[in-house]
Amino acid sequence: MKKMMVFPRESSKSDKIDAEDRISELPEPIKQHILFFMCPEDAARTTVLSKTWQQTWNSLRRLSFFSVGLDCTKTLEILHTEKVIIQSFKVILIRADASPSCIGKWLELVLGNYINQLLLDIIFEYTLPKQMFAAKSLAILYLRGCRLVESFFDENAKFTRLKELTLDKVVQDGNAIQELLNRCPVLEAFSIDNCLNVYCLELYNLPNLKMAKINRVRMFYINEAPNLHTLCCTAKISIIFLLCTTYTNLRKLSIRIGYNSFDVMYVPRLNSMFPLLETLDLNDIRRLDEVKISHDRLESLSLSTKFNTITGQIDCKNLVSCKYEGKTIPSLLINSSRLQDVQLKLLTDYPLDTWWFLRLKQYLETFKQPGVLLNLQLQIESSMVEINPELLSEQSVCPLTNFKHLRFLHIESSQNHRDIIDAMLWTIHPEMISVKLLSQPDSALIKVKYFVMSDC
Amino acid sequence: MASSSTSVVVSNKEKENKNTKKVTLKSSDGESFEVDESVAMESQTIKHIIEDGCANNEIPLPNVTSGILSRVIEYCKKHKEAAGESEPSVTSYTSNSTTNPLTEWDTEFVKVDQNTLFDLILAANYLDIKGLLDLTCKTVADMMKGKTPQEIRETFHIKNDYTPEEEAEVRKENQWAFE
Repeated sequence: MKKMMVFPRESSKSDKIDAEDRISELPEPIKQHILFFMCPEDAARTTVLSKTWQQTWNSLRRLSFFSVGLDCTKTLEILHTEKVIIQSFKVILIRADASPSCIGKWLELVLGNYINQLLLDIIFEYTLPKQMFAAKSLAILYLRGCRLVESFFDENAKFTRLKELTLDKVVQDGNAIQELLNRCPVLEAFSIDNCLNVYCLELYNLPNLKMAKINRVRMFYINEAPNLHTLCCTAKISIIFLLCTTYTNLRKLSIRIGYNSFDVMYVPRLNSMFPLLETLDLNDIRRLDEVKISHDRLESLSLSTKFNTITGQIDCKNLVSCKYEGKTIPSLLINSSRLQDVQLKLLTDYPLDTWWFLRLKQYLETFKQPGVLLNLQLQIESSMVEINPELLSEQSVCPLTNFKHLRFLHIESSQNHRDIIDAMLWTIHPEMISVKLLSQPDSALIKVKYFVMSDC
Repeated sequence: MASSSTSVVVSNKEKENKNTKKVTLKSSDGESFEVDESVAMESQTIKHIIEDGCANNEIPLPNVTSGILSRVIEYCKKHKEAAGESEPSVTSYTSNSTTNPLTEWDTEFVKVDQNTLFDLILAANYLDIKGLLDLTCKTVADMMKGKTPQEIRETFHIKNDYTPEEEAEVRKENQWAFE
């Protein structure tokens, strides 16, 4: 057959106005077919053409895909042919399951299906291919056990849609993790844990970041994160905030730092640097013996230490809940009329005597706020516990009744169970007692419990 | 049947001698086209009609005009020849067509005006010819590639039925695509 001569339609002005919109009139399956020949950005942009096109995009079937240890190539190919948007692709693999090229093929297929959420949990080390960093449609990315290569990051490549990023046991070549972080302009939540050799991580230019969980890095800098709402950080060496900045939106701060400068540098400036802070957890306090925490809006405070005896003053007029964990009885005065819930956890590994119990009572009595309820968890590692019941009854006037729960985590010396519980009951009358019994239940114990309950 | 060890040329010749079965396709405007049955069977729709024994002498195609039908037949013929097998040829346009020897011919084939292109899409859909549907749809997709929404609207005369507020809302929903 001879080749047909082609005369393209001349479009004059009037032609344009009357010209038919034939493309929108095409049957929906065909419009969807056309969309699937486009790259994700182009396809998503068609939603703005007209309502018909938005309808087409929304009518594409969406699917979540979860595979454990299987070869998904065939299924993914079928899904691509059937124009199904793979919203979420989760893969868990161990070594024997799939070769790197196989995984690469799957990634290629899902990236062509406008993937929204990608979870790769690969026990062996899998180097992520370069093309993954062109996945514009990714909104949620979870990587476990993968390897990131710094050189794969293009100057301009950005994850323009990535909102949530989680890295667990990820290995990096060079500074790949920081490079990745720098390319997520709309990131809202970031979590990193168990990634070896992350010496220094910096948060800057992340205007949308609301939540960050940083675990096991050496040093951590927070430069610009104006919308940061929650920060949980464990750093081996240090965490550094910009001193002259106000982190106006930070509501929750949970810190555990090795060679702490946080206590010394930032605790005195709590009110000015973190004005809206509601929850503060200072874990593993080392350097600060005298704690002086003063904040107008703080509602929940948690302190823990493995070594020191913490003394100090907590001036937080809105404090509702306070937690303390340590070895010794603290000497912390809490100045808050709103205090309702106090939780103490004492992990003692030194010998105890009657005076110790009396000191404990003395401290518990300092909580005079109306409506406050105390909780105590007690661990007694030492088998040297000497209690003099007479001394107790002498010194102890009124047992505290504002006690919700007394829990014995562990009592080393099994003979003294009774004495210890007895001693505690001289000091407090809790609503509930929990005891971990290693041996046969002692009838005497049960008697004691009964006594308390009938008292109420 | 043709043995697989013979060369392509020979098997084609054999086919021409053996399989001279022809069918007649009738367009919506009454024109008749006589084609080899094997070429016509590139269309799954026609294939089912023939296999169901409803072919009689003529297969009426009320949804396809003669102009379009002649082009479709041209496509099927060309692709059938290139495939050289007894099954209908399967061309994939999803990957970069380094495996498709007809890339150049296909590119020329779709250099037509918009109206013809859409007619071809609809015909390929009605006649169920995967290769042609893929080719034509990909062509449209390529025409939309890299253009701004306004440019796309102008190219295809799409009427924007969003209010400015609605349009802003839609843009926001898929903001990542507009960066």
